[in-house]
Amino acid sequence: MEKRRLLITFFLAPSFVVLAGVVLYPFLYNVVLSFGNMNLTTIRHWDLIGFRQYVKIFTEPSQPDFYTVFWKTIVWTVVNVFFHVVLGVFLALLLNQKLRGKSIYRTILILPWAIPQYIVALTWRGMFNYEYGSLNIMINKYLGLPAVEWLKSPTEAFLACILTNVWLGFPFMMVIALGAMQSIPHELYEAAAIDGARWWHRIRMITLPLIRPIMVPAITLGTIWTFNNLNIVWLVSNAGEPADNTHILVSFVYKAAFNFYGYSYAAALSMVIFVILLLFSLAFLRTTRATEAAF
Amino acid sequence: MAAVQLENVRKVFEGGQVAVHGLTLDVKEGELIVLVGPSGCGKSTSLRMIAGLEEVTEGIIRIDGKVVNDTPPKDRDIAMVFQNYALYPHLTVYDNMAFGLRLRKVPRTEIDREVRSAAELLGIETLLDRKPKALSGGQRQRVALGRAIVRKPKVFLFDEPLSNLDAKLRVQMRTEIARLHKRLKTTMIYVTHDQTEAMTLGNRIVVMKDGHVQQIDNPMILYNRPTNKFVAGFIGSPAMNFLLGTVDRRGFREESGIFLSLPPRHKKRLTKYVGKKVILGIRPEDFWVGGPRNRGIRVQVEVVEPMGNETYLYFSTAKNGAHHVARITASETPAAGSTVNLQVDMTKAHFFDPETELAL
Repeated sequence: MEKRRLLITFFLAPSFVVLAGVVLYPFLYNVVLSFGNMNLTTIRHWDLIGFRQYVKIFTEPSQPDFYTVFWKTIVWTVVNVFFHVVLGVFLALLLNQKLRGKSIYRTILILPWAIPQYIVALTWRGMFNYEYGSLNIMINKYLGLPAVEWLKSPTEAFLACILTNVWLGFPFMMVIALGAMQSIPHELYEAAAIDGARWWHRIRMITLPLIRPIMVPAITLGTIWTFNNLNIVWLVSNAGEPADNTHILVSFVYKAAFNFYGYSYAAALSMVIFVILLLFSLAFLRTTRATEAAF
Repeated sequence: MAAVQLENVRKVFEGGQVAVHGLTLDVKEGELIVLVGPSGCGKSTSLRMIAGLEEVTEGIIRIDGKVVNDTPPKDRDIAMVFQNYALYPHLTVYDNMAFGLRLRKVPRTEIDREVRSAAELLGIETLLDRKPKALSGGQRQRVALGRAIVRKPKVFLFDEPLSNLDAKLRVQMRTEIARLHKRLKTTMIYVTHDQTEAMTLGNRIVVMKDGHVQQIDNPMILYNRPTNKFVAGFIGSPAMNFLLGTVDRRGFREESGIFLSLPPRHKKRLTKYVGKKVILGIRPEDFWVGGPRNRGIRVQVEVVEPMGNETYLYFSTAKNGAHHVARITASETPAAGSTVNLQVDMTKAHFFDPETELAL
């Protein structure tokens, strides 16, 4: 028994060491840092100052304002995840039908996911260009509407970020939803057809409830990824332009840490993000009872 | 209750594979008919065409006198029980049973009455709040039956409903289905690959092979007067033994030299086959151990399978020859490896043409 335990420890040790190095240590360091006063001037002799950074986050005015950024992050996450799921499930429903050239459509629809985020963000930024961007050309030429200042006004710039991320994010949900749909036994649909279910009944009463146990963890993951998606906001809006009006919490943290060098302030902000996401995940998984298998 | 008629029904799948070749069948009102055959014989496809789950390539299907070829499944007034139950896993037993009635906008009180009465009939009234995953195989199959019963359909369709159950439960459920048929008197079409199920349940049995109907008859006629070698071999367990040999004026001579004299009835029937090859079919129960050595066949027993009340003896008549089985009474059981004298009840022998495989 002792020998067996030693063997298990021996095999687990390398992965534990790596995890401790790349996850546990940075996390604990971040926790400690969030109670300190490290910035560019105190980087070599910083001290622990208790909850002062947290108090500062919630009480002192900042540029941009923490609460505005917080609510913007909520809107960003909800809108993005909503469209990722709705579009993803809708397309998965289409791809789950008997369709000629299905594999071609499937490949095309997965493409956004396969392209690196960096490329996607810069391509979309180009498409949002006021003068030469393809979106304005189409709006102007085909809809006869005036060109939109996509990247110059706060709302439009934020919308541009959302549009880019919706395009980037739906294939993940589509692939997950399609996989979930394909695991539903065909007999259930046949039994429902005999029972009198129409197309809509079958989706509402069989497909959606049965993909739920798979979609809920995917939605949880998607929410965490979207909430923490620095690349798109940072690259499409060019670091929160105009005038730091397009920030979400994570880009706010990045700016605080690497543009303003407020390391402890940024560490405290990331702890706030961590707690928000932890509470959300626990509450969401518990209320949806996603871990219960359907079959 | 309704009659079901199939007229020259053919099913060709995409890619040209013919699953059913011109099936003609007349299921009477209140009859329990069983479609039986090995995998890929077209029995399930035929049932699915009756259900409306497969399109009919050619031919006509009538339910209660109405042509239903283009009628969607929900408008055929049928209910189907599937092999793997097809219970909705996210719904309780009650909701599973009520599903079809709710879609048909039946009043809630009536749904409740029907579900509870079906649950009582099937002995699942205590399970109504459970989800399918909390049920055993037998309970799930009862729920699937209940879901079909509450709809009060004109025709019940069963697609190998007992295949996923263990042997003991299969026998129990088989009896319950037979009892249910007696009670409800609804037309039932039952598909199975298990000939025992077919024999015990069916008023009539349709034996199919490779998309063709081999014989439609009641169980005893199928057993005693099979129209061809396939039916003879398929119906009955253990299966009928086949011996290839030649008919002469006195009897049947198997290739290895075994000689079996023919009773007058067979002699007369086989006169035009004298000097020709025929296949002799003997059911395992038509052997017995003992009798004079100059009659019967002398064989070495390869395997002995005691069943308690009877014993199966496995032997072969020639080197590298086909293996045969005899069903004998337990008291006559010899040891494996011993040589015994087996007598054959030739009055019950069957003969088949080796080329056409039709019964002679």
